[in-house]
Amino acid sequence: MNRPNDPAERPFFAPTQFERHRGPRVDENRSVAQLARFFARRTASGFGPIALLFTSLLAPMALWLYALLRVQGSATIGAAELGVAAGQEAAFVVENFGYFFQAMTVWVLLVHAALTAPQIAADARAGALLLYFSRPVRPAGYLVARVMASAGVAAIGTSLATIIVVVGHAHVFGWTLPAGALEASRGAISGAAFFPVAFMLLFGAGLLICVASALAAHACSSLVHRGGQPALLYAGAILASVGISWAGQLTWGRTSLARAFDLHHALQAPYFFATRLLDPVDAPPASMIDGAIGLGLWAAIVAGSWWILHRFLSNPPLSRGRA
Amino acid sequence: MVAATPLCHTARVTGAPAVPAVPTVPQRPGAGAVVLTARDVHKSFGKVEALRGINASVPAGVVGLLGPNGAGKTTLLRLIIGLESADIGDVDVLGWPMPSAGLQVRAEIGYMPEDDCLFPKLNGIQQVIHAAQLCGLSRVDAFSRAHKALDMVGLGEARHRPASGFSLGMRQRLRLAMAIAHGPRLLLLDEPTAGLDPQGRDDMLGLIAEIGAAGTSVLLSTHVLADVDAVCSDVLLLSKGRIGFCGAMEKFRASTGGERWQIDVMGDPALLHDALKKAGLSVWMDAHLVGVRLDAPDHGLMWKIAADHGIAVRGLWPVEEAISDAFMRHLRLDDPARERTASSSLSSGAP
Repeated sequence: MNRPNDPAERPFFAPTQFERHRGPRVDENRSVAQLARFFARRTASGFGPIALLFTSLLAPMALWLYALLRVQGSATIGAAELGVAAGQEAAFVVENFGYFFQAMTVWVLLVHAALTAPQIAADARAGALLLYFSRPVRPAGYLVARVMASAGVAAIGTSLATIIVVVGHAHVFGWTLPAGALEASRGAISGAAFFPVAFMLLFGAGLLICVASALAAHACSSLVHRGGQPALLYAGAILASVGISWAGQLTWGRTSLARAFDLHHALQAPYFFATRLLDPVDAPPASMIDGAIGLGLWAAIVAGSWWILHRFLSNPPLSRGRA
Repeated sequence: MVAATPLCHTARVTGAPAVPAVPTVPQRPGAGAVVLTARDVHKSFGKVEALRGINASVPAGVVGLLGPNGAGKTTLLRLIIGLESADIGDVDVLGWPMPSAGLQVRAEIGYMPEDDCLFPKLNGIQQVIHAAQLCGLSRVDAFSRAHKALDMVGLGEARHRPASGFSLGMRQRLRLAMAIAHGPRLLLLDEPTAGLDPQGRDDMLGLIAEIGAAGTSVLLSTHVLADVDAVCSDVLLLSKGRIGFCGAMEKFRASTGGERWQIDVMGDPALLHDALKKAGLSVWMDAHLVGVRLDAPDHGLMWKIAADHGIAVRGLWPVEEAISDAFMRHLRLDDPARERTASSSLSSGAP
């Protein structure tokens, strides 16, 4: 093809409105924060069905509590009405918080399986990793934003639930526990500080499990990329560990080692340790051994997940479909 | 679409019209400025040498990056972006060394990849806002520039539709909008017209030309030589990991090519073809015309040979070389083996 020499023969290009941007740019930290907010919004947008499911489960419980309060009168609800012996309030609350924390770990694991596990795989499938890394985004920044977003969304749920549970218990047992209740459990903290400390422990341990399990879910997402595979891998690993643990307990009895292999159980290790502050007597040595092994297991999982993600993002699949 | 307000910041300062009323071939803003410098760049993937001692200075303007498959174009683009680092040698982009200044460079460049990749589950405007924010624009700036970019590429009406429902042409234009939303100094386009219909291709080339005219340098990697011919002022040709040519388009056509002539004869053109071939000239048949390449500007030689063989010549005129011919010629110059193969397989075509 010969180039047309007559300008009239050359292609006509209609002018539009392109202009260079010469305004300010945000720094890298703010850029990562922007990215995390974007990821969090995307994660939360998938939250609807799960929120609906949990609301539908919690609604009957809330109605039952409401009915209890209406029948007995909220002013009369207290330790005696709940069948808690005098002096056993602290132990009862600590036990209740333990059950609550177990339920919370299940919730966090489900949220990460449903919402977090598919994320990096979806980016890899769509070739979006190329779009991220051809812009001023470091792989570490991308990963931090992903974990912040996933853990943050889960932590909003755990924090709200923690507030409701702690305030509810404080309302029933009084913000300052009787001295007898604390003496019985030889707690290391004063009655006035009991519920604030309990809240901090639940909140902190909740945040920890949100971050740790988000990392593990993202690592699963970087290993397999098709449709529901990452979620299946993540949920499968948890369920397999529970199965192994139960099989171990059936075979060798309720030993620490057998229990510790249950990842769901192990995820509660930080809280097991922390509750010694509230009730040192109620934390038998066997539980502490469980907790120690569980902590070690999750520390290894976090380190392994980081290593897997680091390797993946060092040489990410940059072509669509290469994933 | 006609701009109602001054468009380019520079133009506002100087008072000159921002975009020419009829922008044709792109201007060369900042001509003489260098956007990319490569010094003895080697890059291997295992035993495969993708780049073998690249030395080039790419000027500002709209530059075509040409080369056959496996020539190293994508590797060079990835070195420019900082997705790969050179094994040996240095690459400077916009004056910054790569990949150490990767963040600064990536904030100043726009990249439109060849792959059909978009952010999952976003609509058109969200895609562009997100892309602009990744380049460091605040949400307010990203929002306003994303709308302008979508208007510019002609997707204003489709901005709120899910990108997954876009046609191929719309997706190409969306990816261009994502690449330019932050107003880059250098735009890297990898096969931007692939899969487009003729109208879509013309529109895309028009956008590229306008972006170049507004002061953004463009590196256009493509296999479509006509696209390079239409919008590029300079050419960078890669062949087997080496630079085959780097310079202005006019030089690309003219360099080492000699003069090409076409001769119209009365009677059988094959007689003149054979006579010229016997005289040691490079000749080919083009329908009823005889084509000939002269290393020296001596067209009297052709008259003489025709007269010696009693062939009446009706007309004789010089021919400008097509870019595809120039492309093939530069590849053959770079590879003697290819020269032999091409000579034997193109015996009846242009050399």
